[in-house]
Amino acid sequence: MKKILVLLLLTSIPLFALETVKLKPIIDKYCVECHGPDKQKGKFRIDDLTELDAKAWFDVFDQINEGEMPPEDETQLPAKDKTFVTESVLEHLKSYEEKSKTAMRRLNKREYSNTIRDLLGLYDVYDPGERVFADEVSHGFDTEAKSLVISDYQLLQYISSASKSLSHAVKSHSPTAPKAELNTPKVSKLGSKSRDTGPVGKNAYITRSPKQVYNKNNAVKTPGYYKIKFTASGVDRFFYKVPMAPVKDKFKVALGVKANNDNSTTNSGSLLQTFELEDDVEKTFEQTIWINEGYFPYLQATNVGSKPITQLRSAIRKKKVPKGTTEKNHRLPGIKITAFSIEGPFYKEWPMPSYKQTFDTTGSLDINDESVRSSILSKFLYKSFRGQNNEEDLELYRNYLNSVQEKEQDWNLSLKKTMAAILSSPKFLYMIENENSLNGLSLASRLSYMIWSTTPDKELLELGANGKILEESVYQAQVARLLSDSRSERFMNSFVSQWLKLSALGTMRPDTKDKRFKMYKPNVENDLRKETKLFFQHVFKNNLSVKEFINSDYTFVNKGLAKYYGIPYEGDGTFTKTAVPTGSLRGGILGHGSVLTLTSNGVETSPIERGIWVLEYFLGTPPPPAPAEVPALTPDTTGAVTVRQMLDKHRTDPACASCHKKMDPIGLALESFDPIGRIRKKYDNKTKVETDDVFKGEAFSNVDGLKQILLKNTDSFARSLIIKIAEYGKGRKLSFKDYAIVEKLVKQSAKNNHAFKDLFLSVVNSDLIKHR
Amino acid sequence: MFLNRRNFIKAAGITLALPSLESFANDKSSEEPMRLVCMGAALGMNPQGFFPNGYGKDYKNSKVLQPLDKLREDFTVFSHMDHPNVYSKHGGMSALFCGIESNKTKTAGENYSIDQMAADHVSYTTRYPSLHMSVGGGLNASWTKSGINVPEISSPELIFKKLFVNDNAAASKALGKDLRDQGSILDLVKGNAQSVLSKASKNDKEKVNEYFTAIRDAESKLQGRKQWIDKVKPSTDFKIEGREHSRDDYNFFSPLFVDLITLAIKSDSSRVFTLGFGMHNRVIELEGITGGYHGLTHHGNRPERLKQLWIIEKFYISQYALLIEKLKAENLLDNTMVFFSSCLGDASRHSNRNMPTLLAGGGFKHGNHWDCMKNNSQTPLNNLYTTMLQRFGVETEKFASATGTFDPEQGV
Repeated sequence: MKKILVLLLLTSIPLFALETVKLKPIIDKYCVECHGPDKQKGKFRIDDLTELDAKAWFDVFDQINEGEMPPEDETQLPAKDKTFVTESVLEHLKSYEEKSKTAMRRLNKREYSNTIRDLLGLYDVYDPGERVFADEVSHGFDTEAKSLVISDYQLLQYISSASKSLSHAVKSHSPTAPKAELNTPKVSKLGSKSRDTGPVGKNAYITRSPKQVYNKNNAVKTPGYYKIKFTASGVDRFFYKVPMAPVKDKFKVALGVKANNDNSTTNSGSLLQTFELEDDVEKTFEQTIWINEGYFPYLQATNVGSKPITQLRSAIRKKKVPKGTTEKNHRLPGIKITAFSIEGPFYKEWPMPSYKQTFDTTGSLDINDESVRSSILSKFLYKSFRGQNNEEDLELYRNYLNSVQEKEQDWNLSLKKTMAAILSSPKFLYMIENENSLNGLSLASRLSYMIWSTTPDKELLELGANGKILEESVYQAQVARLLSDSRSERFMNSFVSQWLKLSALGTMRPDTKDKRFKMYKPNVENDLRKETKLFFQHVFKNNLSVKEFINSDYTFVNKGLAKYYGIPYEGDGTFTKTAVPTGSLRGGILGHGSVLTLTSNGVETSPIERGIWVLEYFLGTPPPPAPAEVPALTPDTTGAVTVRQMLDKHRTDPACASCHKKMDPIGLALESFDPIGRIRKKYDNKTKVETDDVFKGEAFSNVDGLKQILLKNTDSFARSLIIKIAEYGKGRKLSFKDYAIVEKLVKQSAKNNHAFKDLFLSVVNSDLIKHR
Repeated sequence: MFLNRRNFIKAAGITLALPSLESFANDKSSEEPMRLVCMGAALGMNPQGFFPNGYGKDYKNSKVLQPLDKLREDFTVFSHMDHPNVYSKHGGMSALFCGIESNKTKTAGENYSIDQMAADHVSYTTRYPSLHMSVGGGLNASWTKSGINVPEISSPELIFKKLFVNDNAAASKALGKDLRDQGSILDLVKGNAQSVLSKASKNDKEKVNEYFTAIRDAESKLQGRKQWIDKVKPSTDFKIEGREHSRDDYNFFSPLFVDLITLAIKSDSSRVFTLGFGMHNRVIELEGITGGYHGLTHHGNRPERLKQLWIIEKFYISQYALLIEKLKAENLLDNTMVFFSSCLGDASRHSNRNMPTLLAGGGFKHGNHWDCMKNNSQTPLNNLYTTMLQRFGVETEKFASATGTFDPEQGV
C-alpha cells in the first residue's frame, strides 16, 4: 500500500486517495458536526478533504495528536482510529512541496562575540560584540534565520567592530615586547570635580559617592598587564553625628577598567577587585591587571551612600547636622586617595596569546615577506569562513591588501584592515548551508554553533573539511566531546533562558518601597535566573527525565534565595542542590521564582497571564489569541470581586470558555505565589487564596495536584522539547515534513522515561539536525 | 504647577548662530521644510483623566489636558483612534509609530515606523536624518525600513554635543578616514557578496536582497555622513545648567529635551524627532509622587493612586504644551507636526484600544475634539499617520495597514 501511496504522491495528486476512503468516515463521525457545512467552529471546516491545504492538514494532525480535539465533552476517538488518523495525515504531509527554507543564517550577537573571541584569542573584559545591536527575536530562538535580519546599521557596526577587535588582538609584529613605563598622574586630577568628588589640595582626591573615579587621559595605548598602585583611606565617617553609609562596615574601594567609548552598548566598565580600607590610616594597594588599548583604570567607593545628597537632605531637614551645612560643602563619609601610579605594559608571554591565536603561530611573523603574508591570509580565510574559502577569496583579499598598502605604506595596518574586511564578508557573517543532507563543513558548523555557540575548533573544522564528520562513529564522538566541554553550558543556558523567556525578568520590576516586595533586593533577579539555569543543567547533565521540569523534590538555592522562599537550607551560602519540603509547592520549574515573577507585572499576579505562559512557553501548546471584542479583565483592587469570580465571567461566556478552561485553572493553581514568587495564603485585601479547579477533566486542589495531571501527559511535553531543541539547532522552524521524525523520537523517548540528555542526543543524531 | 527651574532660559533669550549659508549647500529650496516630532508615553493615559467632555469645537477640556488650555486653537484631540490589530498589552509599545508589534512581523521591515519613513525622506539633507530621545527609559517604538530598532538617547548632554559641539580637527580627520576605510571595505564586501550570493539558491533570495539592501543603504549613509564632517556646526549660548538628582528627575530631563528639539529645528540640524516617556516602576521625581509609576497605572480605582497618576500624566502634557509654546514663539509651529500618543489606552486593564492621541501644528487648522468611532469601529491611527506623512512630503496613499487618510481639520 505504501508503494502505491508514494506513486500517487510522485504524480502530485494532492490527496491520498486510498487512505481517504478509510479516513472520511472517521472524520464525518467525529468532526463534521462542528466543522462542517452547518457549523465552522474556529472558522475551520473539514467535511471536504480535498479542500484542505498543508496547514489545515497539519492542524488536524496537531489537534488530534495533542488530544485537543474532539473536545473533552464530546465523543472521543477510539485509540486505534486516533493512531490511524495521525499517522496517515503525517504520511500525507510529506507529499507537500514545501518552500525549502533559506540556507543563510547570520550569526547572532552572542555567536558573533564568541566567534571573534575564539578567532582572535580575545578572552578579557573587551567584548567584541559590544557595539553590535541586540537581535530582535520574534517568537522562537535567537538562532532563527528569519529574525536575524541585516541592515546598513549592522553592516557598518560589523565593519567598525572588526577593526576594533583586530587592534586589540594584534599590536605589533615586533619580536620583542614593548618596554614598561611608570606613569604617575597627578592625584588631584584623578577624576572629575563635582558636588561629591574632587581634589583636596594638591596631593589628595576625595570621593563621597559611588560614582566611578577616572581620568580618560589615563587610557593606555598598548594592551598589556599594568601594575596599579594606589594609597587610600576612609575619611569623615563620623563627621556628622548621624550614621551614614557605610555605617559600621569598613570602607571599600574597587578597581576596574573602562573604555572611552560613547557608542558601546555595554560601557559600564568592569569591576575587577575590591579592597578594604582603614579609617584615616593610609594604606597602599597594588594590583596587576590586564588593560586593553583605549581602556583606563577607575576607582570606586562601593559602599558609601548610593545617593549621598538624599541622605544629607533628610539630615538637614531633621536638623541633625551643624547649621550652614549645604549640599555643596558637605563632608559625608568618603574615600581619600593620596597616591596613584600605573606601570606597564608587562607580558607573561610575547607575542601575546591573542597574536598567537590570530595568526596561528608560536612566534612573531615577518610580515614584510610576501609568502608570510600570503600564508597569514589563507589561514585566516580558512578559519574565518569556516572552511568555505577558495582560491578566488585569497586572490580578492590579497589584491585588497596590496591596494591598502599602497595608500598606507604600513604592512601591519594594511593587514589588519584586510582582516577586518574578511570579518565583514557574508561568508563570515552568515552560516551558508547546502541543501538536503548537510555536507561535512555545514554539519561541523551547525553542530558547533548549536552546542558551543561559536565557530568550530580546529579538530571539528578539519573533520568537516575532510568529510569524516559524516561517519556515524566520528559524529557521535564529536557530539560527546563538545558536550563534555564547559562551553556546552552556552547551549544549556541560552536554551533554557529562551525557552522560558527568562529575559523578561526585570522588565516589570516590582517597587521595592512597597512593603510586600521588600525582599526583592537588587541581586534577586540574578539569583532567580541562576536557580533555573542550574536546575536545567542538572537535569541535562545527569540525563534525568524531563518529568523533573514538571515536578521535583529539590531545587538550587543559595542562602539568600532559601530565605526568600522560606525553605530550610544547609550549605556554605552558595548555590546548592536543596530539598524542597513536602507541601512547599516549590518542586519543578513552576515553583521557580524566576518564572513566577516574569509572568506577573510587578504589581499583581494575573492568573490568565500565567496560564498563557505555561501553555505557550513551558508546555509548548499556545492557546489561540484572544478574540478582539473581549475587554481584558479590569482589576478592581477595592476588593469587591474575587479573582475567581472575575475569571468565572470568562468561563461562562461560551466564546471564551474553550480556551479559558485551559489557562485559568493553571493560573489559579499558581495563585499560591505572589507577584515575586513567594508563597501567600491571603490576598492583600485579606481574602483567602483559593487554588482548586479542574484541568483536563480532573480536579486538583493546588499546584502540586496540577503537576500530577501534567505528568500524565509527559509525551506531549517531551514532544515540545524535541521540537524546540531541533528549531534552536536548525535556526529554522520545523516544516510539516519534519513532524514524522518528531513523532518517531517521541515514541523512542517515551520508552526511555524521557531521559533528557538522551532526548537531546536523539535530536542531534536525527535528520532534524543532519539535514537542512 | 510644574516649577521649571530652567524657565529662565526662555526669558534670557537664546541666541543661535548658524554657520554661513554656503555650508548648507543641501538646502536649496526657499520653502520652509516640514518637521515631525512624535512624543509617546509607554504606560497609556488614564482615559477618565485624559479625554475631554463633548466633541467638536466646544468640548470641555479634561483635567490632564489642562496645561493645553491656553493653546486650544493649536491642537486637536482624537477619541477612539487605535491600531486595530494590536492586542498585546505592554508589547503594543513597539507598534506605537507603525501599527504592528515587532514580534508579529512576517517580513523584515513590516514595522517601518513613521518617524523613520520621514527620516529617510529627509535623509542627510540635514546633519541628522532623525534624533531620538527618552526620559525614564526608551519606548523602542522606532524601526528602520529593515526592521531594526533605533536606539534612543537619554542624555541631554549627548544631544547637545551632537548638535553644537564641533569635533576637533584631528578627530574629524580621523572620522573622515574611518568613513573612507569603511567605504572601501563596503566596496570589497559588495564584490565578494556578489560572487558568493549569486550562487546561493533561489530560496535565499530574500536574505540575499536583504544583504544587498544593507550594503546600498550603508553606502548612502556613509556618503551622507561624509558630507557633514567638515561642515561647522551652529553655535549657541544655550547651556545645560545644573544636573539631575537621578534618572527619574523628569523635571530636569524633559524641559531640556524640549529646548534641544526647538534648537535643532531652528538650526535645521534635523527634522524628525521622537521623545518618549518610558515604562518602569520607580518613583518619578515629581511633587506629590510616592508610588512606583507602573503600580500607579494599575490604580484599581483607588483615589490616592489616580491622583498621583494624573500628576504624572499632566506632566507629560505640560511638556507637550511647552514644546508647542516654544515652537510658536519661534514661528516654527506651522511647519512642525507635534504628535502625542500611547499604544496603551487604559493601562489599568492593559487595553490597547482608544489611544490617547493629540496633534498640533503642521499647518493644520486645529481646535477640535474628534470622535473617531465610525460605524461602530475605531479609526486606524495609521490613517492619521498617512495624512501626516503626506503633509511631510512623503508620497504615500496608505501608510502600512492604513485604510485611507484622516483629515484632522474635518475629523474624517
